[in-house]
Amino acid sequence: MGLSEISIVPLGAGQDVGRSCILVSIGSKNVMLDCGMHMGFQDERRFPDFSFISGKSRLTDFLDCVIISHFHLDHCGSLPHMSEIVGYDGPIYMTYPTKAIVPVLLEDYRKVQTEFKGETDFFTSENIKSCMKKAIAVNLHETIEVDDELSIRAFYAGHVLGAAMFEIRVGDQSVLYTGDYNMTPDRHLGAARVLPDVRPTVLISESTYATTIRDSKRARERDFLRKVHEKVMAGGKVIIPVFALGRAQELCILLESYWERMNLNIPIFFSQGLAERANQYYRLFINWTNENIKKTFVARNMFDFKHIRPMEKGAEDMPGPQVLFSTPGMLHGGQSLKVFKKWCSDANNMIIMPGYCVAGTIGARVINGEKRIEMEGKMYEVRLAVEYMSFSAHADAKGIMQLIRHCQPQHVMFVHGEAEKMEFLRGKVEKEFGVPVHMPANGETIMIEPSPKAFIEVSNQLIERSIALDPTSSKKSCPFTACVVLDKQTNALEVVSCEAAAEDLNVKIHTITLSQILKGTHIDWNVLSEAMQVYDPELQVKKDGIEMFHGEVCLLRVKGQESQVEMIWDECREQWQPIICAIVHDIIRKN
Amino acid sequence: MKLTNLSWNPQKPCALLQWPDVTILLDCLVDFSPFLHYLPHVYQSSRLKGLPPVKYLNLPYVKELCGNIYIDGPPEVHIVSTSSLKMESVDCILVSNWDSLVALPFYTENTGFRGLVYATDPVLQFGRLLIEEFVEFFDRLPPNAVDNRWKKANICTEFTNPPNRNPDEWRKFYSKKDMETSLARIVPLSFNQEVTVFKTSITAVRSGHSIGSANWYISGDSQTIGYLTSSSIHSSHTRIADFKKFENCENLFLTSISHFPDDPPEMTVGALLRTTTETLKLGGNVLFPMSSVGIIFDLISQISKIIDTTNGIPADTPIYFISPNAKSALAYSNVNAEWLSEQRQQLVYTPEEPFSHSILIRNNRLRVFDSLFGAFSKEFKTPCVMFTSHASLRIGDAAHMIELWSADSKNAVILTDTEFSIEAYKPFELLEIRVYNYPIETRLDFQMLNENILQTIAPKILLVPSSYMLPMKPNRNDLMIQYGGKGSVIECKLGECVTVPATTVRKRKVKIHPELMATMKMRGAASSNRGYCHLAVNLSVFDDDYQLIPPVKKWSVRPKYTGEIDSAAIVSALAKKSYTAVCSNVDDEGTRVIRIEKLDATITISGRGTRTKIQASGENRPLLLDLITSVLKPLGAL
Repeated sequence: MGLSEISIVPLGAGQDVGRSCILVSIGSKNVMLDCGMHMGFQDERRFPDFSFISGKSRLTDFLDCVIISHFHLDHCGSLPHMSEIVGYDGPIYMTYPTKAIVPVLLEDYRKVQTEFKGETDFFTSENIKSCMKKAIAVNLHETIEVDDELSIRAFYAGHVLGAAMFEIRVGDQSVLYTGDYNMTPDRHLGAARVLPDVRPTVLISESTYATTIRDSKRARERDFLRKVHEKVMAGGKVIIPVFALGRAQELCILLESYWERMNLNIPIFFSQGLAERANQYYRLFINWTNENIKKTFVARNMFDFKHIRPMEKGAEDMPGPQVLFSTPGMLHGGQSLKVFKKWCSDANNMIIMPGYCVAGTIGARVINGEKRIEMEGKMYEVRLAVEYMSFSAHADAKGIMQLIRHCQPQHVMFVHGEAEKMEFLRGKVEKEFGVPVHMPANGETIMIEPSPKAFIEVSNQLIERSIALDPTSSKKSCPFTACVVLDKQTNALEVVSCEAAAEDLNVKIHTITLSQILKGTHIDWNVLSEAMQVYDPELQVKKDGIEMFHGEVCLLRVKGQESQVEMIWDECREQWQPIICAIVHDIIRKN
Repeated sequence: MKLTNLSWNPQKPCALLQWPDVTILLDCLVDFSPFLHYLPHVYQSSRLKGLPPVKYLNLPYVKELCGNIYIDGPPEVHIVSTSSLKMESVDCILVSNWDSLVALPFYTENTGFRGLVYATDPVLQFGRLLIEEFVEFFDRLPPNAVDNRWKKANICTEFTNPPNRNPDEWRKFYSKKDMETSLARIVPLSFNQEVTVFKTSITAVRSGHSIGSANWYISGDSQTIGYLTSSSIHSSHTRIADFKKFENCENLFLTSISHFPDDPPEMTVGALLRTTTETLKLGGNVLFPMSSVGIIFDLISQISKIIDTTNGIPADTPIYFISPNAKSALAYSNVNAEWLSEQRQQLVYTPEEPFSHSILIRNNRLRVFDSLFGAFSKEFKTPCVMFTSHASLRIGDAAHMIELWSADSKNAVILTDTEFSIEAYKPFELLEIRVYNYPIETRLDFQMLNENILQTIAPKILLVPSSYMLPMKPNRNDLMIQYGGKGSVIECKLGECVTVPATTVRKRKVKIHPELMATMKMRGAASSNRGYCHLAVNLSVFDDDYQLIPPVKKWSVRPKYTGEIDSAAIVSALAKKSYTAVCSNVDDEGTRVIRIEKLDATITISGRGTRTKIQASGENRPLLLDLITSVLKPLGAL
């Protein structure tokens, strides 16, 4: 009966990681979830195929809004391209921190593409600025009315600063899109959390770590610290490619406290400029970090490091051990790639890949153990130690299951993961929760039939009427008759009384009354009416008998039969009949 | 719906909203006016410390100063009697702003209250700072032996300044422990976040008066009500109020209207800045006894600008901000951009802090200390501007500073508080230091409400405290509520429970059982743009869980039928079941009676075949009912 049909098509991130862009339609409302770029491609495939959406017509006419879940480029990297080059003027929603950080990362990305790679046909700084003017910042849990029918709500996702899940609602149908999320709290962010009242029709969940149940975080961290420590003690250099914001802060806090504890003085560097800038965002959005940091930030800012300092020029060529946090995270350009090329052939060095790398990037090839890699036209021998330790803040299989258990969706859809891994988790979810799981490929549309809507609005008048018809005090089965009326144009449903519906249909309800003669020995009408007042204090005593419930039950004198009562009742009062009948019998059979 | 106004001060509302299912306390009231009967607390002052007790009263702690009587001891406050409020029956408390939060522990601790408390995130963050400050100030007071003897009517009514509310009802401030347990009860909210308490939905809506301050939209089973308190549309660091949610609401409870309608804040602040400039030019000090959160955030930057740009004021004139929570207050002001004005929000995208305080601190222009002792005394330099609590001039450091600067008329005290005005200054009246009263009042005034906001919101019923029904000043009919045309006004007298009548048909969301859902089908002529589905089902309301369920047993609910009955058709249908029936006319209107001897039953058909009455014994009725309905059409069928 909920007649808004849901259709979902991933333009990116369908059985894939990267270029997240999912189109959701609920009824006549169309929403784009994320607008990412694919770091594994350098051609037009890095952007979602926007022509798929509206063909030749304008995106603004088709889309009601765009939502960006967090600032990672695989979720927002195509935004200026979409809004300024393809053309979209509608609202773009994102959280406050996301709105602050996105333009910085877009600008970085633009620089890498145009300055390092020499691309000329790329979005400009102006494009980024005018794109961001269309961005509307939202707070967590706030209900944003996009228009009269479409509303959205953001929830804490714990993946990076400002990351949010979004609920998109039209009438009784809703979609919860997780973006990237993390179900376990860490050193600087809290765990993902949706409110208990969130019950989406469809849950669209990322599934990066669909098959992983990650070992305990503590063990992973110990492992990380031990490996870094061993390497630098042996005089090696350690490069940790990271994104400026996110895991970088997490690992910095971890390493900082270890250096402090172990009293080490081997230098730790962080890509110039980024650390300070990143810290500034953390300072402004401290309310988006975890409780611990929030509580202590007035006295001490967790992101003011003692041991970690901005990278000095040429530091990578210094002799002796060092640790370098370098951007970007997938070795797809910038300083990370530059330093990696310098260090990769020395077996004494180490690279720690702390997060997921998109297929096709140098990072992914390093993780895959390739020993000879061509970088920027030159072949390099990769001899340094390679460690892949996942610190990216994605929910693992356990976390995904936990979210499903929590919000009880009617359908689950996996995106942002690899097909085989999704397949595995699909089996598990279908078995444990008995809900259908979808995993569409890019461009594949999933239609979700208008699932029965669980609620309908009924006027208190009809409800009170129904309750009155049930003589029992538990009120577990009150007779309820009414008509549901559907307006075929607006799909609006309304519950009206049978009388109103009959009038509407130009028909007349056939009245059925029932009657039974009750025989007794002697009838005292005063006693009868007194007894009946227990059931209807407003009953009317008339010349020919007693009228109860506005005449729906009557006890009438029978002509010429002084010891008989005719009980007449409307069919709707059937359940009252045996009760009243028994009382009347009781009274008139006495004596 | 019932509403009881419990506050004697419409600026500081407290009201009980009662629905059959839920009881909500709208804000908590703590009245600080008793403070004014206490002697200001200072660390050193021969003037205040050496006062002799008033002889004829013979109570060592009752002192006379400037012709008024003061109690020399920890000041007390006045709250609504929590026993008469029956806190144990209150399901939830809505805390609209940090002033109300300060009162919260009085209502939640040791009162039997077991419910929930809702407030926005910043109200909790900043309100906590205010409370901590109060608790700290009370801790600093010497444990004076003050008893209740002075409160006896025959004593206190003899004062030249007798209390105008019964001091027997006053009480001491709460402890830090009570504060902690009380604040732990709060569920923090965002604006426009809907929460549900016993099927009543509650939404906090931006009110614009202070960071995170809220109005509320409450929607119950049968009625909705908007609750407006301390709202502002003046531009400041907070985002202005949002009234859209309240448009066309059924009921509106309106409180906290500006007490200074003739002093718009823009003018007051202008005068304040001029006085500050002049005083600094003279080489005098300027003291702002004020709260450490709120308007101070704007004033610090405005005054630093004056110092920067005015010839004749040394550029290194320090601005001191002294409060146990000064550092925290400034830190929090910079991490809540989401809750600030658009203009301040824009700064975080640059990325810069929304306020310039950190820069001022870095440049040593703004100097922050937690008290007048220790580090501060070493670097204290005059002339200067100082912000310090408390506006009441009874606790905190402000009173001490007045005494310190009292002998020089070059110095100035600038009062800005709307709750403590010049009244609070009485103990200092005769001092040389100049005093100015510039209450910065940003709340809505009657003119904005009458001419604009109420017209737009257009509630069907407007509820206001009694005092708004009369002009605030004599002969000023513009200073009262004028609401005509679109709805009616209900006066809420102190302590009186008013019943608010329902004005519209209300609907309730009812669950539909999945089995029932599966059988529901919409029917309707293809040409028609409406479809119909007739329900003849059961409704369960057991345990307040409203659900439509399939009929419990066959025919426990019969559908409604339409159509006319032809007696001949019934006779032949009966014959098919081998019952002989005799049909006869009984009147001129076509009423026909069918008698079935074998069943001892009679069917009467009247109203041109539209009414049927079946008279039969219990066991035979279902049979005949089935037979009748079989020749009729269920409602909605094509």
